[in-house]
Amino acid sequence: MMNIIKIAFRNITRQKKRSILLGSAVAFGVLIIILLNGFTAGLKETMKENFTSLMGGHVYVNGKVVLPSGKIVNMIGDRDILDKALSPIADEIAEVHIRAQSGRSEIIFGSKSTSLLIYGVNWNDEKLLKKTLTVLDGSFKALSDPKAIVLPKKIADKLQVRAGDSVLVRLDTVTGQRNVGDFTVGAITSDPGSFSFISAGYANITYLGELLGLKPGGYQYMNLYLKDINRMDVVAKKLRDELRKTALLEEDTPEDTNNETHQRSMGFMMGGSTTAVKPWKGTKFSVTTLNDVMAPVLQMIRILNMVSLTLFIILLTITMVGLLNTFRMVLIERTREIGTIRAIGMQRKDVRNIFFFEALFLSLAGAAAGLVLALIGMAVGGAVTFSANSNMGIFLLNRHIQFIASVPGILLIIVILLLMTLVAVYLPARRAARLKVADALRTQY
Amino acid sequence: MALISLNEVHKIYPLGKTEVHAVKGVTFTIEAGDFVSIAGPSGSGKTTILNMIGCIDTPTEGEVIIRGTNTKELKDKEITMLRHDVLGFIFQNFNLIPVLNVYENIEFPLLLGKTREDKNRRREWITHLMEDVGLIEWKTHKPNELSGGQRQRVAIARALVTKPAIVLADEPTANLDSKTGENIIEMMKKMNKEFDTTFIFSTHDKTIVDIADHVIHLKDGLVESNSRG
Ligand SMILES: Nc1ncnc2c1ncn2[C@@H]1O[C@H](COP(=O)(O)OP(=O)(O)OP(=O)(O)O)[C@@H](O)[C@H]1O
Ligand SMILES: [Mg+2]
Repeated sequence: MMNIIKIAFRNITRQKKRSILLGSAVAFGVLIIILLNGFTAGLKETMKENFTSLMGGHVYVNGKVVLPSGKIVNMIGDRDILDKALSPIADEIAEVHIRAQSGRSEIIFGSKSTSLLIYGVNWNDEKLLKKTLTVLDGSFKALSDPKAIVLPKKIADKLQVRAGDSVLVRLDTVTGQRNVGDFTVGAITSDPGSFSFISAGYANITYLGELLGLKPGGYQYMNLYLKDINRMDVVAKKLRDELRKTALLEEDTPEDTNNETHQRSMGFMMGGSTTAVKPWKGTKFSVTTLNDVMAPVLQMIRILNMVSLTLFIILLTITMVGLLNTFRMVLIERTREIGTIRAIGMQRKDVRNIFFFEALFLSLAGAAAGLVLALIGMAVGGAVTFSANSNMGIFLLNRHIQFIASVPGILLIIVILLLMTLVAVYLPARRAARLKVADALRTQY
Repeated sequence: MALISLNEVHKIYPLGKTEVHAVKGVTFTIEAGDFVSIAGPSGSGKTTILNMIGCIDTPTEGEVIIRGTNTKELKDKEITMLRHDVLGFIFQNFNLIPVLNVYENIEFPLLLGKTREDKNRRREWITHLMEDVGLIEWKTHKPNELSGGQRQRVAIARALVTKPAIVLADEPTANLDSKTGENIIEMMKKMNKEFDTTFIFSTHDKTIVDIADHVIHLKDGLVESNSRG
């Protein structure tokens, strides 16, 4: 067997140009697929991280309350129900973030004004958020001021404010009254993980809650940051089951749910007041997860993966046709040689195996080259730093494209490649093994 | 018992819609240790008969019996093993393996066998053969760096490496000039004496025929004369 492998290996070097050409074709296919897979896998993780920081966690609890006026507002009223429901899953939770959220508000500085969305956050809890935001001017220390506001660079540029400046914000309370508050710009940040079209500022939840007309200590959303991101759907289900015991769940009353996920992601601009369909008592909870929010993104990534798989199969097919033709040629070129080694006493299966090994070595060499190139490509692609306000923000992690090379994925690609190689070379190999010795020896090649 | 016997052997090649009756009922025996020449004009059936003795082709009719074994009854795997263990081949076109050097070409048949003998003894044996055929300095050269005569000497060593009972050579001198050709036949004769190997070679060169101690003359697929002594 060793001898067969040795012969196969040497045979590759017989037609160097041809071998290099074929190997390059294999390498190209492998390069493309590994790069694309690395990109989509990286994209998925990047998006997860960015969505996590954008949404402020992995599992989101919303509440809706019907006011005496009949108006529905986003607010978590029955806080003790929620607190009780959280206790069985306390082990799973890394951070709990409570938030308030203004509707689209107007921020005014001097003669300039622009609109933005303001989240009320508890700065002591939001370690993750602080990690995501890059401070360009000012500092997070200034946030100890209850009236501090953190502005994205884009807004700050529009208003031409600097850290320390005072700004005015005009917003609607949860009941729809107009209200005005004054803030101090604590920090100007760039958020590489954020949608660039959402201009969100962050303020102290106590102060913002006050301006929004929430009760003291009140909040509108609770975001759970889990220890294990993969548990989000399990945790969400548990939480729903707990809440269901004592409260209404939006998921159980589909007639006025009308796609919570959609509302949640689009609700950034709207603050979320809708007209009542059927009034209810207390807080109607709803629990959504990062997966729900990311569904369209995941769908896009699936499509991307499918496209790259199709591309791989096309490239592979072309390469395999090339391989098949090459080995047909090899069969013709080596007919007399095959006759000789068969006469000398080589068994049919060994003749066939030489063909198999030769093709496998070619493919493996190509795959190895492709893999190395892909890893280099990923390293280079991942090293490019994009501008802080790049429109690609959501696709970037810390201003870089993230590539993730998955070992099982790469192994799978190589296994597929090798199997296809065997299929492609099977017919010429079989024909070589079945050559009639006398006929093979008589050929003129 | 004769080493090889052919009984009423026929070979008919299909050729398009017709047939070529290449061998038309040939019967002869070959004794162990003989230096046999199969002579005859072009197209007389020399190659066809050597192929059937060498088990790389089968008779259409009749039997080829080697050491008491009727080759008709063997499967391809067994025939391949028989070729490996009992037969050696020397070809008109040398047919060395281009990717292997002289040493490796000679060693090659040994690597195909089932029995693995001691590596050092194998090397000694191959070295001995290379010395015998006078190619020890060419050990690491590839076939395309050798002359025709040198190549055929590699082929002789390769044919002998498995210590076969029979070596078949189909016109081993046809691609060589007459001087070199004679040298090759002399060398084969020397090996025939040294190892007591039966050599059967075909030729249409009259001067070479004289070296043989058993000459079978063919004509039109039939034995014209058969003289041993
Ligand atoms: N594969 C084949 N198909 C058809 N006819 C063949 C085939 N091989 C040989 N023949 C025919 O059989 C006859 C004997 O051929 P063979 O090759 O045995 O002769 P030969 O004595 O070896 O001739 P040469 O000295 O030219 O090598 C010839 O007429 C030849 O044309
Ligand atoms: Mg012939």
